[in-house]
Amino acid sequence: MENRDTDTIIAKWLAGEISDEEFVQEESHETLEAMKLIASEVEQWSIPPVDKVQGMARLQERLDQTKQEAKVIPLGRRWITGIAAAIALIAVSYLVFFNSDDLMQYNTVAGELEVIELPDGSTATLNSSSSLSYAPKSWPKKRRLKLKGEAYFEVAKGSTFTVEIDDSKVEVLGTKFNVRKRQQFLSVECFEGKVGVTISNSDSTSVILAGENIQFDGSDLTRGRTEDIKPIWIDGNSTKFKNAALGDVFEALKAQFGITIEYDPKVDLSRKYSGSFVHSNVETALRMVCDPLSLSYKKAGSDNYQIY
Amino acid sequence: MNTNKSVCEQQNFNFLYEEHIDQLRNFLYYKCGDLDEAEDLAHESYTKLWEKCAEVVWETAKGFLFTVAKRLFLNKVSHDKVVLTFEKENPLKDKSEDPHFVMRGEEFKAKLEEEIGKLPERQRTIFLMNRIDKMSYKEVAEALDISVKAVEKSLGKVMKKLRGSIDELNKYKI
Repeated sequence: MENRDTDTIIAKWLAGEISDEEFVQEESHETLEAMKLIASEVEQWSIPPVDKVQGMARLQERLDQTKQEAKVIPLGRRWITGIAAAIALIAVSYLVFFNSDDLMQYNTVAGELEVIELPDGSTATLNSSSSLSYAPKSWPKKRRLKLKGEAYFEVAKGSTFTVEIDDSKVEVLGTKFNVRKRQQFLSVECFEGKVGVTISNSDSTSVILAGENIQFDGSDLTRGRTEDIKPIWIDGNSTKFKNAALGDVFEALKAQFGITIEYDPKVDLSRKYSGSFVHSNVETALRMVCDPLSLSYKKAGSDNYQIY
Repeated sequence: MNTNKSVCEQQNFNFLYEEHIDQLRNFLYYKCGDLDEAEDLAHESYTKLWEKCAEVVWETAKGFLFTVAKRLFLNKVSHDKVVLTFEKENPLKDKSEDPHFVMRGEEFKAKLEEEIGKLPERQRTIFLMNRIDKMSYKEVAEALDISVKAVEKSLGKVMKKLRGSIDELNKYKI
C-alpha cells in the first residue's frame, strides 16, 4: 500500500474506500472498533429539515422588502404574477419615490463589494463593511450621499455631487474619486477631474486634482500623489496604500476581514505605511502590513488579533 | 444538461431553494450553533443570490450560496465553542455490546455532541457536512473551496480527537 498517513486512512475507511481488513492492517483493531462506534452513533443523528413552504414564504417576504429599497428590477424578475399586481407595485414605488423622504440605503459586510447605480447614471462601488444612503426624492435637484466606510465614485456630468462622511464632505463636478473614512482616518483620492474636500465642518475647502490625494488623521493633513487610474481594491484582490497612517491601514484590514485588532501601547498608529495587502487570507494580509514595519501579530481569539 | 438555465426565473430559483436550503442552513448551524440564526443567514444568502441572479451562472449557484453564507458568517463574533444538539432516529438501537465500550446511548450521544461543539469551527463543519448531510468529500471540498485532500485530513483529525475523548470517558467509568 502506498504511503498514506493516519488521517487519510481514517477518512478513506469512513468513505468506504478501504475495507475493515485493510484498515486493521494499517491501524489497530481497537481503533477500528472505536471509530465504528463513533460513526454508527453519528449515523443516527439528524437535524429537522427546513419547513420549505414556510421558509419560502419568509424568504419571499424578505425579497419583497429588499426590492423596495433596491434599484430598478427588470420586470421579468418579479415574483408577483399578473400585470395588475405589477402595475400596483409600480404605483406604490412611485409614491414611495416621490412622496416621502425615505432613504435608499446599501450596506456591505466584510469581504463584500457592491456596485450601486445612482439615478443619474453615476456609479458608486462600495467597499467592505461600508454603507451608503441617499434620498431619491431630492436627488434630481441635489445629488447628495451619505457614506460610512469606503467607496469609489464615477460621477456623471451634471449638478453638484456631494459625499458626506461624518462631519466632512467632498464636492465634485463630474469625476472619478475614492473616499474612505474609518475611525478618525479620512482619505480622498482623485483619479479624474477635481474635487473639493471640506474637513470636519471647517471653513476652508482643499481642492485636489487628478492624481492627487489628501489624508487626514484627525489632526494633521497630508497631501500626496497617486499613480493609479482607479483604486486597487475595486478588483477585489488586494488593497493598496501610499503613505497612509498605519491606523488607517489596520481599519481597512478590519473592514475587509471582519476581524478585531488590539494594539500594544508601543505601536505608533500614526506611522506611515506604503504597500498593499491581499484579500485572500487574513494572516497573509497581516504579515504584509506588519513585516515591513517590524511589527508582529498574534491570534488572540477567533477573529481577534494583537499587534505588538 | 440544462446549461443555460437562468437563476432569475422563479421556478429555477425555487428549485435551488428546495435543493440546497437544508445543507446551507446546516452548514451555518455547525458554525454558529443556533438554528434560527442559521436559517436567517441562509435566507440572507438566497437574497443575495436573487439580487445577483443575472450574473450567477446556473452551475455555480450552489458555490455562490456557500461563499456568501461564509462571508455573512464572518461578521458574527463568537463561534469558538458552540452547543449543538441532534435528533436521534431510533434511540433503542444500541449495539454497544462490547464491554469495553459500555456506555448508555444518551450519555454517549451527549459526550460526542459536547466534543464536536469544542472542535475548531472548520473541522467541525467539514465533519458534520459529511456525516450529517451525507455530502461526499468532493461536495464538501467544492462548497468550502478547499481540496479533497484537506477534507480527508480534517476528517481523520476529528475522528482521532473524538476517539480520544470516548477513551477518556471509558477510563473514568471503569
